[in-house]
Amino acid sequence: MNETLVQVRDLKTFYPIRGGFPRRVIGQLKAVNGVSFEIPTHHTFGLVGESGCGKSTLGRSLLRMQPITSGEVSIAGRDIRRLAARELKRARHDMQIIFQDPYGSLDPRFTVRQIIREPLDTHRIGDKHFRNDEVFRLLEVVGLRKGVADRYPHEFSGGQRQRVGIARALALKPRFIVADEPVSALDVSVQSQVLNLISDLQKSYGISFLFISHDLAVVQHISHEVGVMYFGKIVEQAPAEELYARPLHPYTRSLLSAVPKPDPGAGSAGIIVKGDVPSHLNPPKGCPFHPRCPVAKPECAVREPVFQAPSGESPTHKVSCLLYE
Amino acid sequence: MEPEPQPSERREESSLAEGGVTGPVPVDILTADASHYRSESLWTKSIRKFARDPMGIAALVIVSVFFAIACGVWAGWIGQNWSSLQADGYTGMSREHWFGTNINGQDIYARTIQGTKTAFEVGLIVAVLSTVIGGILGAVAGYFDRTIVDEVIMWLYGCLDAIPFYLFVAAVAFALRDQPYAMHVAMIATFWSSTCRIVRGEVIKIKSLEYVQAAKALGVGSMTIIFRHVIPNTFHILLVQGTIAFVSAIKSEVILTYLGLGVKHGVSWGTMLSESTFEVSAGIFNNFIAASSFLFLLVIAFNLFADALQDALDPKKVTAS
Repeated sequence: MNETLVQVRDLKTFYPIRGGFPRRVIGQLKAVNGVSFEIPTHHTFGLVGESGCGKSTLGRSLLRMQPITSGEVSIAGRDIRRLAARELKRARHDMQIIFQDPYGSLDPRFTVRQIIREPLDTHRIGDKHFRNDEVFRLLEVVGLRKGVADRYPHEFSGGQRQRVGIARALALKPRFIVADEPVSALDVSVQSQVLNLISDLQKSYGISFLFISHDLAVVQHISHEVGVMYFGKIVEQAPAEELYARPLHPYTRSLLSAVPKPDPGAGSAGIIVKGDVPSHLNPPKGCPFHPRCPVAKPECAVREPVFQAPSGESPTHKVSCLLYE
Repeated sequence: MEPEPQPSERREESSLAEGGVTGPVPVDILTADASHYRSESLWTKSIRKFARDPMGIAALVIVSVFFAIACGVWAGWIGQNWSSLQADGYTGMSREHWFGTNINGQDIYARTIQGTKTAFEVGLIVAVLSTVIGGILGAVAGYFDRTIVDEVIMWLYGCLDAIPFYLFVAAVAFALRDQPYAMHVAMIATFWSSTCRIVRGEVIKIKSLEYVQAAKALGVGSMTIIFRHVIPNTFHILLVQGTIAFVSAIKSEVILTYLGLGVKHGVSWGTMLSESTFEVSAGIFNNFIAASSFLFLLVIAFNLFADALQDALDPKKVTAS
């Protein structure tokens, strides 16, 4: 086992809900409500969940791009919550982010060279020649030709833009990258190229990834460990192979049954989740999944399950469901 | 539950890595030197779009002619004898006095030309300063949305907007008696607010875009982000707001001068219009037609130019072409 690079303990990120007159805080939107996990070096932690479950907020909270309400985040030995501005800037060397929308993530008025140089300029790494050489090196690493350096983002396709975004994230040689749905906005044919690039980078540079996606198939390809998030919490977490082979939580099962299969005759496992994610303004009591759960018991509406490894399972496979308590 | 096929084909990988670009087809493909392809920024793209708009070009030509006249006056080549008494009052149009003379025997043509300079002076000063102030304050307010900074800036333009414009100008003109720039100060103080409001709204949108988030993740400071990434991406708004401020300033200058609140030590189309109020009823139209047609032509040309500019600069239309 590698050493732990990222450690998250009981992380909570709430958004204040304002209303009334005069405007005041009338409630808390619990986007991330008590999440704990660890990512060792050279590992990818896949985080899946439907939209609105808090997975992007979680990723941004780790990089302190979103104020954390409570809990602990430690990345490469730094307590992210308590860093002063200068230390935080220093910590940015070790943690970077790749964004979902390749059209929104590059400043349209900057050339590719300026975009990739920005991290080097900001942190005053090397002299001018070094920075220019570094831009070319990074372009090569992400599979783009040197000649594209003076082009503008609008001259590229989505997949190429995403490569530029990856090159920018790599410029500071981070040890940890949050990949926030990096392939969701891309065509399926381009998705695999970008996924291959990310897994190559991990192998050659030993970067740890938090790979956020709503697509279980994408996460499976790239992750060592997978967490399934629902309504601000991780409801099931296991090594990737284990999770895909033996999903325990009804929510995970339904997500897996929704993944399209290459064989049209195979049929569906038949678990269809009805309805939407519950309202954060009026969260359900007990297990947050019970209003949509196909196998809910009366108890589920009353008692909240504990996130633990069920007896008979390996200690690395944790689930939060009353069926296994 | 069957495992998914691993999407690991590498075939496309190499084709993309070598292809590198799929942007607009390089023009140079047809020429011998295809190795260097001229990259196109949003600016050059906008200029190309503007050049295709005949209305915009026509308007730009008219505005340029006016600007050339104003420059000629600044340089001292034309319209210098606007205040000297040339002839008898109210002579008609002649070779010496193209537009005739006014009651004092001053050359109306020279006064109209001089009025163009006055208009451009006011228009440029007010447009540039009000746009710079409005742009920076709007960007700061939008970026620090819902903080005390934003509240203060919003309160400031809320207050200024609540005062009727001409009342405010009269008050400023009175407070800055004997200052030639009282009118400019009053206009800048009121015109920046609309730019500020529009830029603030745009910046609230821009700051949630991922390239701003990316800059934050890189550790770029807030003010650097505002000046490096946020304000440059509001340039299309600033340019259009600047042209609108320019036209409003010229119109306001004429009206204020007409009312006696504006230009005092010089001549403006407003001065001429105010002189003409007595003349028109007497059937003498020289002053009136000269001043109002110049004003009309400049304002309508500038408005058409502003519209064409807006179309050419719209970043959404730019990327779509």
